[in-house]
Amino acid sequence: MTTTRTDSWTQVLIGRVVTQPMEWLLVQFWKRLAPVKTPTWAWKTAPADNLQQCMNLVMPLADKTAVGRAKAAGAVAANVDEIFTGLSNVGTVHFARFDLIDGNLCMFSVYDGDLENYIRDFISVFGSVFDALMEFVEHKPPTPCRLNPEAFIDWVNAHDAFQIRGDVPSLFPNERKIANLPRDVVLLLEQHPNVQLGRYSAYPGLSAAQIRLATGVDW
Amino acid sequence: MVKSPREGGLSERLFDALIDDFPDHRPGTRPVHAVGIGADGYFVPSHVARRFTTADHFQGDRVQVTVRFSNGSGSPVENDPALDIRGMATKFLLPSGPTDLIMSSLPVFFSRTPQDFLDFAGAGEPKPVKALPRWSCLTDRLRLRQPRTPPGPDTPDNGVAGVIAYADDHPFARAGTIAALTQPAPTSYARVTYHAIHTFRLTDPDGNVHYCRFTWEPVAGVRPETRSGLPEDYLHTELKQRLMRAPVRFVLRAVVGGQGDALDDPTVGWDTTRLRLVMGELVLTELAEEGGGASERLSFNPTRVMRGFEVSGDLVLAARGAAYEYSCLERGGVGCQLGRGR
Repeated sequence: MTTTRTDSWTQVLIGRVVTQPMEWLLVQFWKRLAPVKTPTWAWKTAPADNLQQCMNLVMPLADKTAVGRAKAAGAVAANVDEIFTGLSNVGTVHFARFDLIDGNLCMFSVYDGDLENYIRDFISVFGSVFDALMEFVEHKPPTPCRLNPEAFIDWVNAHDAFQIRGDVPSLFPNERKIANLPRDVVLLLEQHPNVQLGRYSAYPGLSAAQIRLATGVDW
Repeated sequence: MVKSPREGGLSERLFDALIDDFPDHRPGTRPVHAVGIGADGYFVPSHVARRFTTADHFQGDRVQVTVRFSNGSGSPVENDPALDIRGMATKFLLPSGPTDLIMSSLPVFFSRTPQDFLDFAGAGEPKPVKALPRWSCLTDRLRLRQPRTPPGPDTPDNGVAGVIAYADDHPFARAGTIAALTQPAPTSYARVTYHAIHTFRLTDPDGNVHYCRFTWEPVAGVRPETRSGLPEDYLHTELKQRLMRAPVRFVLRAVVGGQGDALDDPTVGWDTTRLRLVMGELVLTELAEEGGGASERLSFNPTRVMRGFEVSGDLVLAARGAAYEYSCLERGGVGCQLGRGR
């Protein structure tokens, strides 16, 4: 057991002192020599393209201590009714939840439709909740968000995790060699610290409204 | 203009090109997926399936099936632990005649047209593997690439460098090539997800057409093999033992394509947002036969389809259909011809 602990400690030390700084230097070198472009997704016209979209909003807390996190948690708890009613009134949301992860307040949701319209909807129906939450977030957008929708949309776009769709080769259509794809992925992740790698749905291609109607819980 | 797959001896050239990829190919065996094992059982269609197709095997009654699992290699020497594609060919034994569904562990293909397929097969012809430069591991790491594996004594030549060079020049082949070169051996043929790759055209009772892609999902779950030193026939042994304990089950899922999806291009995957249907469950109860018996000679063909479940306009699918028929006749198989000998 002692040997294992020593080996592990040595590996951690080598990783922090040698490997990780070297990798950082290599990333800085390659991002100048062979930069990659963040892929954008071609808009298609199938109805399912606009269903069950993901928003993964990662909002760094100004105070990351337990006290700061407790205040953010309290702000969410104080607004539960407004959040639930607001999401019901938006009508296109499948799931939404708030999480505290490593000093970040996160809102993860699955919704139907376009992201910007979704943001406009939730600003209009429960924007005051976001105004309350923004008090605990660093580099907050101008509030009230209801009166600054464009600035708020830009802020959400900047804090929404980058989403990888499709296979790796399709992310880098200009890459000339397969062997360089692992490096392209590294350079892409260097640009985007928060990334959604993939997703699964038990019932893809169905809207929240269709599911509610088909299961007889709505009219 | 692209020639029809039956023109210009394409099937013969495709057959020859694939055989050239495996120098130890033995006449009388398949050019690829040469080593296989058969299992028998039945398919139970879901009630959902008949809303999307009028094909006989989805109308509600249990259908007898025979299945052949296989390794992708065209070598007649069984090497189950090798990194390889796995195949699952299913024949539905309907009173009106058999219909087939051919799948493999490859999620997308590496060719858009029959000519691409021929070129890709040509690129995969084995060539002597060059020794790696002494410092390749270090230079690969400095380039933020995956370190290359030095050639082993058992693989003095192979076609990997050729297909990688082909994929470098042909971006459409990349996803399929990467998938083919990174497929780990499974713990069991019963623990692999198999994909039909091509799109099929389903017609529902109202005459509406649905373009669908199919997968067999194992009820036992997917599990790659991590142990080393396994016997060369461990997948066959495992399947025999598994079937003695309990039936092997797969769920047939259909993904319904939408507007803008690549219906005739098997190199392009579809988004995971597409409507996904449960079409039924396959239950395999026993081995088809011991050794190289009936299922080894039996013809499976991806274009052996039927009314209500037809081929799309995918030219590679058509080329495969013709090449499978040609290959079956070449090796003296049973039921080779489409529409006859059923």
